[in-house]
Amino acid sequence: MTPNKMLSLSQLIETHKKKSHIMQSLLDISLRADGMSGADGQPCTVLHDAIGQLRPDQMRRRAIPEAIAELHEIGKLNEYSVNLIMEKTESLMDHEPALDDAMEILQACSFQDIAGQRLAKVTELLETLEERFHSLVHETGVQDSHEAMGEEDLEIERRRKEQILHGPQLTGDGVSQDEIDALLGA
Amino acid sequence: MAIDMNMPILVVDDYKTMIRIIRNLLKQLGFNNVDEASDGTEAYAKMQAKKYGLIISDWNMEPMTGYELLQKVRSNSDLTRTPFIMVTAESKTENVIAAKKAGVNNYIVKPFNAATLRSKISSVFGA
Repeated sequence: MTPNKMLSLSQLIETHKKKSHIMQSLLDISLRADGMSGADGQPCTVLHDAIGQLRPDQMRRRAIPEAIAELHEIGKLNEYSVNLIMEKTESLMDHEPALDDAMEILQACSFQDIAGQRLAKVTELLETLEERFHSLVHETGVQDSHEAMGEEDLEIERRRKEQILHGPQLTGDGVSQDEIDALLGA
Repeated sequence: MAIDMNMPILVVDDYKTMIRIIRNLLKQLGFNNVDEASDGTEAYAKMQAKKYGLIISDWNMEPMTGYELLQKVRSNSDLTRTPFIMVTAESKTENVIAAKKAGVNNYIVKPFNAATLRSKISSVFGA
């Protein structure tokens, strides 16, 4: 018998929950469900339905892999198109521009339409996931747990704070160049 | 004070596209002596091997951010006076204040244009 087979189910869960955030979350949900379970099993049905509405199998098999593939495609398309635009623009800096050059730049800009359509699909999926996930959390009453954060997550969070890494701000957030100049006293 | 158009400039960004854009803008402004680095670590190594007249750096890079690079540059007596312009999408007030405290000479928020770059370079050199 391998060492793993000698472990009880609860020991296995204890071992894995330290390694997996997802397992931790599922364990939280299942523990909560145990507490909710009544004689008629009604609360568990609610939990079962809420998880079912997430359509986890469909998400795992199709929706999420497709969304990831869409994002990869957007990245490749952006890189290809921007390089093309820059090459043409650089060539324009060296010689008298011709109509063909301008047309090629315009054509390369069509990536924005395709990327926009791909992004719309991913955005729709994220909105659906957010809605279903919110419903699941609401039905189960699960609270955020800081213990669910692994060491790697904590290290990333620590570094983000230490290095003040927010990433690009949404339109309207953040400060403008004029406000930055004022802050610097420039 | 006149700007030395032949001074070596180090552009630091982890996106080759942005390096290419800044390099072209600098070329348009008349600066042709431009080197590049893809993060703070590579930039710092290049700065120890060659004296640069200006550093133009992104903030959000790994393994060494532009903020860390700025702090290292300012704490190195050989490099502490090197002009340093941060060019970044990090546009929170706390970022600007932190960069100012760390000794940044100017701060440009992305996206930007040649006029802004020219204006900030002129401001740094008092031209």
